[in-house]
Amino acid sequence: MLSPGLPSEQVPQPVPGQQRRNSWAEPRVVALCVGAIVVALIAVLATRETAGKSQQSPILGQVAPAISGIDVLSKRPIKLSDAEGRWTVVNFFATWCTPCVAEHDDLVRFHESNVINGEDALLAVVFDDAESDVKKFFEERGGGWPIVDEPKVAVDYGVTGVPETYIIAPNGKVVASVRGGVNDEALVAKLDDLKAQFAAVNSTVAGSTTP
Amino acid sequence: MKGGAMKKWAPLLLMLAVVLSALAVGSLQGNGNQTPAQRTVSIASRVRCPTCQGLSVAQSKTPVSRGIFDEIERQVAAGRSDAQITSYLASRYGDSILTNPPSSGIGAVVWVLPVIVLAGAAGGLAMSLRRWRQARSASDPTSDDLDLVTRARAEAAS
Repeated sequence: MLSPGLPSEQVPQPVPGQQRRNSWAEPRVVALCVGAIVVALIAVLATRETAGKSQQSPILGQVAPAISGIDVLSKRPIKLSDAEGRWTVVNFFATWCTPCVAEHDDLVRFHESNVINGEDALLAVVFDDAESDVKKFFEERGGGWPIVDEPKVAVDYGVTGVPETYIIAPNGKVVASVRGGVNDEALVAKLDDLKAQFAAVNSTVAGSTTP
Repeated sequence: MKGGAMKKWAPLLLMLAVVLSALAVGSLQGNGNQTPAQRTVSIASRVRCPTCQGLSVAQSKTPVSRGIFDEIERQVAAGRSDAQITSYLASRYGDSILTNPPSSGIGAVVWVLPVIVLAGAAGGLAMSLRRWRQARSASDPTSDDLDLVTRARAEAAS
């Protein structure tokens, strides 16, 4: 028991006021600073341009990387710029890839409806596959569009898997990309949509330049 | 007095010199006489395989990685610099293809933040040590003092 003769104030103790200030004010300031930094980081990361769409290809809106090579089927030299002035569909594929096989009939239909008449262009790029397999595949399943077998092209386009399809506008810029198989009706609809947008932009530009 | 200060700081300065020269040797060494194959592997190990988890292009054998590896090899043979090759790949696959984040824009945060935190921590530690030393030398009771008081109170209570 404490003796009543010895007041508790005599027990050496840290000065209360000063100690409180040191032990409470500083952690609070530090915590507030850390909190403010975290909030600022979250705000910056959540509102920046690429938030939520990191999967989008960085080459969208850029001039399409050049493609040139020898056509696997006709053995003639071909290049992407042959189709300049037309809407061009560039399809990366491999015969070992199941969704590529599945989309092939759609591409054949698209070729028949939009390419043979000279309206649009279609160009295929082989992705990690043997030329002999590609030849056999086209002989068996039809389709007669140009095919390039240049591994560099897939890297130039940032292709991470097949099938992957890019749409290039008549001005040579990449305007759309599709990861996974395409469907001919959806592809035609997408092209019509892009063509309408393109025409609208061009007419407003033309309209604004005319006095 | 001056001699004492010198004696006090000499080991620290020596240590600083050793650490700095070790860092300099470590970061500059190996960039000089690499063969093209070594350079290819060194760049490929700094490029992430886009379809794998936690593998570099140098480690991965997926078709995409092999394509990127071959392209790095071609560009090394064509005499392009490491920075040119990595920025080319970043322009096609996005900055996330590089295992080292970019040192500009928002990516700079991960480079700058550790430096700020380290500097802040060192400063805080120095201030705390200083304050503890001052507090100890002033009037704070030591554990011996407290023991003394406890014993005195026990005697008074008995």
